[in-house]
This record gives sequence, structure tokens and C-alpha cells, in this order.
Amino acid sequence: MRKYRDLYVYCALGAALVLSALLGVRYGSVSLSLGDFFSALIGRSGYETERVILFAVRIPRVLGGVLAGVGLSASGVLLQSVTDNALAGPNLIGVNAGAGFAVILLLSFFPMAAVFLPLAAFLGAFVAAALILGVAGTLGASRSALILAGIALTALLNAGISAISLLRDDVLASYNAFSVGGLAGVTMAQLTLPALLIAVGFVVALVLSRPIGLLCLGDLSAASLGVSVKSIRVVCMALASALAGAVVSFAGLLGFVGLTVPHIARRLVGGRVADQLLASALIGGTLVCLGDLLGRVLAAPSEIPVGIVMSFLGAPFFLFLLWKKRYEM
Amino acid sequence: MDWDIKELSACYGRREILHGLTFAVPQGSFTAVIGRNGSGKSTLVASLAGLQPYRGEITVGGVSLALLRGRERARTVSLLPQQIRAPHVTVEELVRFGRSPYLAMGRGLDAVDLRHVEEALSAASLDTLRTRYVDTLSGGERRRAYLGMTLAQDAPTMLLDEPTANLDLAVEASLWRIVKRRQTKRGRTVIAVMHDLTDAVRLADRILLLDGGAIRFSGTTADFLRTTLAEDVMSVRRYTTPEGILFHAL
Repeated sequence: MRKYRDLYVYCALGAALVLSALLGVRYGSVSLSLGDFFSALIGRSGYETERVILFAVRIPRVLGGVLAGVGLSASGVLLQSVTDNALAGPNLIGVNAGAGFAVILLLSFFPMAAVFLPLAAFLGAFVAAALILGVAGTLGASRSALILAGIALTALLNAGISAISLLRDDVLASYNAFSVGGLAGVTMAQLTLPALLIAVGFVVALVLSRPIGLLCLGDLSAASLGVSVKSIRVVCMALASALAGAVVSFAGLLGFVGLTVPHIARRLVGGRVADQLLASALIGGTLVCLGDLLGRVLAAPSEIPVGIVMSFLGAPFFLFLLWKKRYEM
Repeated sequence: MDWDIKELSACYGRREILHGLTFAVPQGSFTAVIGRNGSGKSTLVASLAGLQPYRGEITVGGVSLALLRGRERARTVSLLPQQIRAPHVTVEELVRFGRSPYLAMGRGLDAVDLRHVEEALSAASLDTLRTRYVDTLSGGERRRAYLGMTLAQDAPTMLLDEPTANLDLAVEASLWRIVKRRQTKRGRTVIAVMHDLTDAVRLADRILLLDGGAIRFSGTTADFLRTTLAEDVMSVRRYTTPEGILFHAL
């Protein structure tokens, strides 16, 4: 019975993702009629402009949205599972602060190397997560050690960002664009490496989903079922930082996706980690695509970055979740 | 599987909790571990589960516990800890978790695993709760669900750390019935930390009394009842009634 219900849920979520991607490709500041859309798609002559819009702008942007949704949501599922904390998201392991610090360093001291901004963001995210893992590892890799190490290092990196932005106010505008998060100007070349990382990370997370799922029982119960708790927690954190870091490299600091999407997935398909990963990927991809589309059409011809749209949608939704769970708190 | 424990010491931080314990547990027996708060009962159970660093030697079925790793250890000994969580999984999914030690990476439950799951659900009277989420259950139902997971794990030795703490008397009795049945019908070895002395002497074949991290008594329940150690160490009074022996706090 439950299997059939889950199958319907997955079909509906898959259809929603395809539909939102198609809408994202078709609509924007320049809307393409169905005829224009298909003519550009099959390469009919006379539709060169539409073809450029479709293949150089819209498709990379939609793919970027799907990848960002999948990567951040999967990262959120992993982090919420290993820390058993419903408020965990990629910012917990210093991904946002690390990426932000690396970006502001690059903009301030090597402004001519701005082309390497995505790479710097990825490396910053990864190094910060590795540092937090290292600190937490020396403290026994417990849930509280991870959370506290994350809070401490994030505070340190944010202090560094504030200090540099006070000294170099000329870089603030560029940094703000990055910190808001958006998909404008994303190219296929920018997406290749992140796509590979996200695909590999997602598959590895699925393969490890059973021992990860046992962590929800607590360290002692999970270990008594044969799980190497410390190792699986470290691997999960590394996976989560790679997934989120890959997204940060092309979309900047997109908030709320990694935090809220796993909650929606849990409500729809239950607590099994494999189910949560699959459902979160579909929901995350759909939401970021739709958020980006809203940002493009609401204020056309200018646009609202998807990061802002996601915060506008995510924050009230999170409050709604808190309201629904008020009796459990 | 027989257990043989020699000179077992364990620390919490820098403080030594267990001081060179030596005792044996025969296969198929029910051993109640008793003692006052802080006497080292939970540390002993965690050590026997292989989840607490220790010095000394623990052998189970002639094999050193230290040599058993991960899933192999989980196929030898199961643990129901004192503190249990309330995850957002169904009771059936929780009980299925018990088969994890038998599953290679990427392999699902086969017919044998599913048979164990069904038996565990039935033995722990969880049939009507199987689709309920664990985080919506009462304390007693949650304990029963975790016990179902432990039964599905079907290890030759079950370690239980005060599984009935904070439960009402009827639920407590039903949990112990399930455990006792598993010992007598399946020949499983049970080592349980128990806070209720009356239950301990009624259910267990053997008693291990800890006092300040050392053994004050290790032997059969009948021999234990010939001593006044319960009164001396645990500060209780004994009453002999037609229903059996009762212990009450002084």
C-alpha cells in the first residue's frame, strides 16, 4: 500500500520537475511562443535569436537550477541525518562562510582573477568544511562536536568577511551579488564539473543510505547494529560539503533550499534516507527552477536573484513547519 | 555462546569506572546486573557490546570480542540501550533496521530477513503498530518497537540496559515476558541491567551485583538469595510472600 503511495508521489514529483524545467526554458524576460520554442529547438532557420536564448541562456540556467536544487537538498538531507538536527543546513558546516571568505579574499586582493571566483568559492567551501571536520574529529566526531565546531568556525570566517568588507568597501557590491545567490549568466562550461561532483556525490549518498539512516537511532544503537558511526559521519560531512560546495561555485549562496526541502520530503515519503534523497532531489530541482522563473518574470525585464526568491518562499514555509510542530516542541 | 570476562577495567574520561571484573556467563542463561546508581552497570553493558574501550579480556564463544568488527559483532551481540530516540520512521522500518548486520552494501532484505522481521513484530506484539511512526508512539510502545528491532537482530546474546525504566508496571511486565520467552524458547543469552530487585530474582538465573565498579556477587539467583547482600549493598528490605520474594526500599 505504502509502496504504491510512494510511487504516485515520485511520479508526481518527477512530473513537477519536468514541467517546471519546461516552463523555465520557455518563459523569462523574453517569452517564447510554443511555435518559437519548437522552431528554435529543432534549429529551423530564421530562429537564430531564439536559439541563442534557448541554448546559451535558458537551458544552462534551468540545468543550473536543477543541479543547485539537487545538490543543496541532498546536502541538507545528509547533514540533518548525521547531526540528527532538523535545523542543519549547508551553512552549518561552514560551506557558506568558507565560500564567502574565499570570494571576498579573491575580490579584494586579486581582483584581476575574478574569473576564478567559482573555483575560489568551491575551494573555500571545501576547506572550511574540512577544517570543521578536522576539529570535530579530534573531539570524537560527536553530533554536538560537529555543530559547535561549525558554529565557531563560521563565526570566525564571518568576522573575517566583515573585517575585509570594512577595509575594502569597493568589493562589497560584487560580494553582495555572490552572497545573495543567483543563476544569471550561468554557462554550460561552468556546470560541467559541479554536475559531475553532484552526480557522484548523490550516488555515493544513495549507496550509503542504509548506515546513514541508522544514525537516527542515536550513536549507541547505530553502533550496536554494526555501523562505524565516526567513519560514516565523516564521510557524510565530506559528501555534504562537496555537494553544497559544487552548487556554491556556480550559484553563490542560495539560502533555505538545503534547510527546508528535506522537511517537505520527509512529510511526503517518510524518514528512510534513500527516499528522502530521491524526493528531495526532485523537490529541490523543482523549487529552484520555479524560484528562478519567478525571479525572471516578476520584475521583467530586470530580475530578482533566485536566492532572494527562495528566502521569501523558504522563510514563511519554515515558520509554517514550526507552527505545525508546535505541539511537539 | 559462553561469555568469559577476565580483569575487565573501563574508564569514563580519566576516571576508572570498572576495576578488574572477572566473571562468566553461560550460554542460554539470564543474568541480571544489579547495583546502586553509579556502580558501573551501564559501562559494563557497553563494554560487553564492544562499544566502550576496555582493558582486560572479553571472549564470547571462545573468540575475543576485540577481534569482532562492526556487523560481525552485531551478529553476535545486540544491545537495547537505556536512552532511545524517537526517529520519524515506521515501526516496521525500525524493526527492519534490526536486519542491517546481515545485509551487504546495497543488498535488500531477502525472504529469511523478512521472516525474522515478521516474527519479531509478532513476538513484540507490534502487528497493529507496524505502520505507525515511532515518534508518535507512547514511551512503552516505543520501547516495545525497539525491543522488536533487537529481536529481529536475533543475535545469540541480548544486552539490555534498564529497558523498563520509567514504564508503568503492566508495560514493564509485558516487556520482560517477551525477553524471557526469547531466552527460554530460543536459548538466547540475556544480560540485563535491572533496577527492580524483585523482577531480577524472579526472572534471572544468575545475578551479578556491582558495587563501586567491583563485583560483590556473581552466581546463581538461588545462591544470591542465601546472602544478605541485597539488604547490605542495595539498602532494601526483603519480604517473603506466597507469590515469591519482594524487595522494597528502606
